[in-house]
Parts: sequence; C-alpha cells; structure tokens
Amino acid sequence: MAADKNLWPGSAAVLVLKLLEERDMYGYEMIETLARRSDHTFDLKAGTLYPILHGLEREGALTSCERRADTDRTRKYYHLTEKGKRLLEEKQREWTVYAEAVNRILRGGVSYGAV
Amino acid sequence: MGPSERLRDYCREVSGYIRWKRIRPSVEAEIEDHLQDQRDAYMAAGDDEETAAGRAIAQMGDPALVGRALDQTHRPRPQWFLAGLTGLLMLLGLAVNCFVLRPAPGLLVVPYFLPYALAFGVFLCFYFMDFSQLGRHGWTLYGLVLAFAALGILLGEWGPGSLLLTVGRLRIRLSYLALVFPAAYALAVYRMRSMGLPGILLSGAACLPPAVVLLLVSNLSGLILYAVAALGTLCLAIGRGWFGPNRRRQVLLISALLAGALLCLAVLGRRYLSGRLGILLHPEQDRLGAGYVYCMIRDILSESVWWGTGGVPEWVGSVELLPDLRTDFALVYLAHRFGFAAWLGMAALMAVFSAVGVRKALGEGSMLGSLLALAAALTLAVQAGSYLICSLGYGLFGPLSLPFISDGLGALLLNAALTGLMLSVFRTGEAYRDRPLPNGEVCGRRSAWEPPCI
Repeated sequence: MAADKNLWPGSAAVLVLKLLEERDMYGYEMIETLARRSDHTFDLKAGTLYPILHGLEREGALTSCERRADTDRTRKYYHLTEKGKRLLEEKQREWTVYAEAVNRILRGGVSYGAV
Repeated sequence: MGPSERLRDYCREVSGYIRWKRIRPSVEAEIEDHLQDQRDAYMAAGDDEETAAGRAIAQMGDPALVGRALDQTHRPRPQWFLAGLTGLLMLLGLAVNCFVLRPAPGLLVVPYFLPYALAFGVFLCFYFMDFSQLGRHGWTLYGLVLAFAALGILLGEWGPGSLLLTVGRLRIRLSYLALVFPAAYALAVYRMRSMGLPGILLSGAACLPPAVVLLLVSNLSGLILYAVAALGTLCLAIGRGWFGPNRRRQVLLISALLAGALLCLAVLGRRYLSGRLGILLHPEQDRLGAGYVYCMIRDILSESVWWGTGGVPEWVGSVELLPDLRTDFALVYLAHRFGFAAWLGMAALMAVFSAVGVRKALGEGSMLGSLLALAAALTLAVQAGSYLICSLGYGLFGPLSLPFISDGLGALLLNAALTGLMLSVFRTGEAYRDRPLPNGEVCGRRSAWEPPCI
C-alpha cells in the first residue's frame, strides 16, 4: 500500500541518502530499490526524486559521475560524500526523535478518560 | 508523434521551466535516460511502446511541477566572496597607484582610473563567459598563444628586464606571457584524455615550448610560475585519472620527466643558480651589484615599524630611490609608509584569495573547469607569493607582479581576465560535464576511471 505523502514530508531525502550509503546508484535504480524494499509503500515519483538529488548534490552531500551503460544510455551515478554521511546521521537522529514523539502519542500518552 | 519523440518533448517541456539555460541539456539528458529506462521496464512487463511511454511520463509527474522544482534547485552560483575580494584588491590597487605611489606631486590621478575601469570590464567579460567554449578549441588556443609568443620574439625589442612587442601605441611586455601559458597548457592537457602514457609524454612535450619562450624573453620568475602551475594541473589530471588507468606508472613517468628537467636545469644553470642563491642568502656580499636592491630593501624594512611610517637608513637616502618601486617593490613602500601591518594585511588578502581559489578549483565537478580554475588560481597564487617574498628582501628571482596592486597595465588586464575565468568556472561549473566515453569509463568529480561502488 502506498503511504500518504503528507505523512513523510522531507523524509524522501533521508531515504535517498540511506540508499546511497550502501552503494552508488542512478535515479531510476533508486526508485526501483525504494519501492521494492518498502513493498511499494514508498513509490517515489521521478519528478520528486530529481530535484531532491540535484539539491543534495548542490549542497555537497552527493557527487555524481556519468557512465555509459550497455544500452549506450548514459547513467548518472550518485555518490554519498562525507558531508552527506554527516547529514544522514543528523537526519536520522531528527527522525528518531520525531517518530518516538508520534509513537508516544499513538500509544496513548494522553488518556481521554482522565480529561 | 512517435513514443520516443513524446519522451523528448516531455523533457524539453520540463527543462523549459528552468531559467538557467546552460544547465538544461544535462538535466534533459538525465530525465530522458530515466524515462527510457522506465518505458523499457513497462514494455518488459507487457505494455506496447506507446502505452509504456505514456505511463513513464505519468510516473515522472506534471512537467510544470517538475520543471519549477528543478528551476528552484538550479541557479548559477554568484561568487560574492571572491568577486568582492577582487573588487577590494582593485580598489586597493587604485588607491595605492593614485594616492600612495604617485610618481610626482600634482600628476593627475585620472589616468590611473582608466586601466582599472578597463580591468574591471575585462573581469566582467570573463566572469560571464561560457568557459566550456575554451575546451572545444583547446589545441587551437594553445597554438595561438604560442604563435603570438613566436611573433613577439621575432618582432620584439629588448626593454628593461624583458622583450617588448610594440603594436601601435601599445607596448606588450612579453614576460607577462607567463600569466597566459598555464591556462593555455591546461587546455592542451584537457585534450589528451585517455591517451595513457603517450598522453603523459605529449603533456611533457607540450610543456616545453612555453618554457623555452619564457627563457628567451629572459624571464626566470615567469618560468618558475609557469612550471609550478603546469605541474599542478598535470598532477590534477593524473590524480583524477584523466589519462586513463595505471596511475602509478603515470606518476613514475612524470616523476622521471620532472627529475630529468630539474637535473638539466641544475647542470646547465649551475653557475647562475648558485649566484642567485648567494644573493638570496647573503645579498651584502654583492652590495653594489645584484644584491644592491635586496640590501636596500632589508635595510629599509629594518627601520620600519609595525604601525606608522618607519625611518630610512642614511645610505638609502629616500625609499623612492628603490629601483622599479611602482612595479616590483610597491609592498616595500607600503611597509615603510604604513608599517608592517600593511604588508601583513596585503599578504593575508592574497593568501585567502589564493587558498579559496585553489580549494574551489580542486572541488570542481568537470575536468575542464577544474584544470582551468586551478591553472588560474596557481598563476595568481605563485605571482603573489613570489612578490611577497621579494618584498621582504629575499629574491631568488625577481618578482613578476602583485595581482591588482602593482603598476603595469598588461599584468592588471591579464590578472583580471584570469580571475574572471576562474570565477566563471565556479559560477557555472555545475552546468558543464565532461562527456562519458563510449567504452564505459566514468567521468565526474571522482576519478575519471574509478568505477561506481555498485
């Protein structure tokens, strides 16, 4: 099931950084990998992905290099830099804090019976 | 309209929303490759080509939304810091030439504004130029610079310290060719992609003609400047794998070539070098000859104070008597007139300018941008460094010029052009990419031969 995108604003960049932590990938490959691993919960649109990738590259979190594929198509591989690794750690910490706060609420941090 | 044409149309529509036109081709290419991959995947799943292309476009999203998002991401990077520093150096140079080093009281200051106005115009022209055009005509430009140098040697006449080429009312000092050669050589190196060890040998050969020209126009400072900048660009190219794999063998070859060149220089110029070394360490041993200027400088500086006007040694008489004060030793005068703080301030500005330039050049994505920016940054850095050292009274070789500060129209214009070119690379470098080679090599900021970590 695809998730409501409003539930994960800003998290697409974290997912992209996390994927690139493992190995270099090109855009299409990232979308496929993300969809497969999340059981199609995260069906990222390519039109959303590329502005994120280009923005991260401009910030210096990613670098890219081009390579001709067997199909004679050019593939632009993205690579996580040291700055990108630090950004990923920071975003992961932020996400953990956010997710724990949401979970506390969902687990009943506020009891309506007591109100 | 065929499915492929539909994909291309979609990409053109997306890139049409990006206001920075130079980035459009690379964005279009990346999106089109993605759409083709997506279309092929849908076709492999059973769709016909038309349906697959339509689904791929739908998966990408509304072209207006995608295009606007990309437009927000892609903008030229105005180089406010370095451009501001350039402006500050030009203003300081103008002030120094107009109000501090005026050759005679009452001379109009207007003539000094014109060269700086012209230099600022040259800087802006290069700042807004498309530097990728230079890469397309690398060999031609290298050849043209050498042809001009040959013409200068044939038609030039000896002037103070250098060969001069007179064109109408303009007198061109050929020693300033040292400021142009590194960039021309960088363009030649750029054209030797994937040539392996023959490319290294050819680079060594291409390095020689400018060096010979600089020796013929009697400019050892220029030769050293050129040698450092050329070696820097060549090492960058090898480090990034521009000549191909087997970098260890390339490094060995270039080290052997360098050792050979240094050995030749040591053997052929042994007497001259030992003389210059003697002047560097003990100028007082030749106080009335080649060491005269450096003795004078050291004695003037020994009377200088940290802040304010220093004294003048009795035997010197006046600081204005220092030969080539306006061109070669402007900083000595500043240190005497305003104190060492002025010298240190200028040295700090030059050091920051050079360090930022070199660091940014090494971080450039494309090989062309990196080579050109590094050649320009090293030219500016070595010029400033040698000038600063000479102004302390340590002159292994004479100074060339202090970028934007010392007197000299030719050097001022060339330094403005080099700075503009360097900043143009930093401003728009991300829009330019080296073309991937058909046999699968990689290009980009990482080594040109380093495969992606798949």
